[in-house]
Amino acid sequence: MIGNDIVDLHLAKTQSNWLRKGWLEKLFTEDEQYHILNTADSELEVWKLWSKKEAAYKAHQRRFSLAPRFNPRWYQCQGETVGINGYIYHTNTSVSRGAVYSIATTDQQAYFTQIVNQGVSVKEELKNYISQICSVTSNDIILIKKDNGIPYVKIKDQLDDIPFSLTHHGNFSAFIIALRK
Amino acid sequence: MGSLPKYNFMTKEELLAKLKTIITPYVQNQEGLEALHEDTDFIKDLEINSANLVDVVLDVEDEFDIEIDNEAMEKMITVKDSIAVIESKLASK
Repeated sequence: MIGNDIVDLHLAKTQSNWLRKGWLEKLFTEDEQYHILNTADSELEVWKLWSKKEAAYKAHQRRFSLAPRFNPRWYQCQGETVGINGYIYHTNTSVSRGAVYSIATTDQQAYFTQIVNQGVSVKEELKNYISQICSVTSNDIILIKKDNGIPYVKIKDQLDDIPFSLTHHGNFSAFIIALRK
Repeated sequence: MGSLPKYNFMTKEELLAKLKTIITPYVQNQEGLEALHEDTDFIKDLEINSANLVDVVLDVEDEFDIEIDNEAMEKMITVKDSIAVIESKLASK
């Protein structure tokens, strides 16, 4: 299972005021709030934890084909993992060039992920990648959504659809795709 | 004469109009806003950034003077479900 989430830090600053009364409390557990407020760069930490929760939410939603919900407090960050109802997702968060990017996966899940530059179509980049690793042409690849809007790659004449996830925010986009071992 | 709570007798249309005003600053898909209906999904149809859903919830709390707990908040992703949450919180005031 895979999920990802990207935050454009510059845009986040204009879209959200994390110091707004009630804002942190509605999104983060007490432990997370304490961690955020006791970190040198609290604002950056907000977006790191937020992107981990969002990435884990997508992986968890896919795993159980869940209807969308807005329940970020259920997703509890602990170091590089996020727990939800006893299920654990492993996260990897990077900060570079003004973006925070997190991916979340179940244990032992192989994957490929890429951040794409502004002006480049993330769907085209994803298709390019698939056409290379699967030796098919771009025309044979379609991106579909199954129940609850969960996205998959469908390759012509192949039975198994491949899980993928896209994320966009401001100037940044990224994809993650599950790989077979 | 005692004063009545401000919003306890709002019709669904009035609630919808209030909610529309609240979500408007966060909407990134104006066509979705123009076509607003009960089943409109905040993220899918209006392209509201998921981190701004919390601002919608906080604005709703301020506007209607209600408290939205986590259980109610998790449902607030469509117009219909948000109105149901607001109605139920107003009724229990």
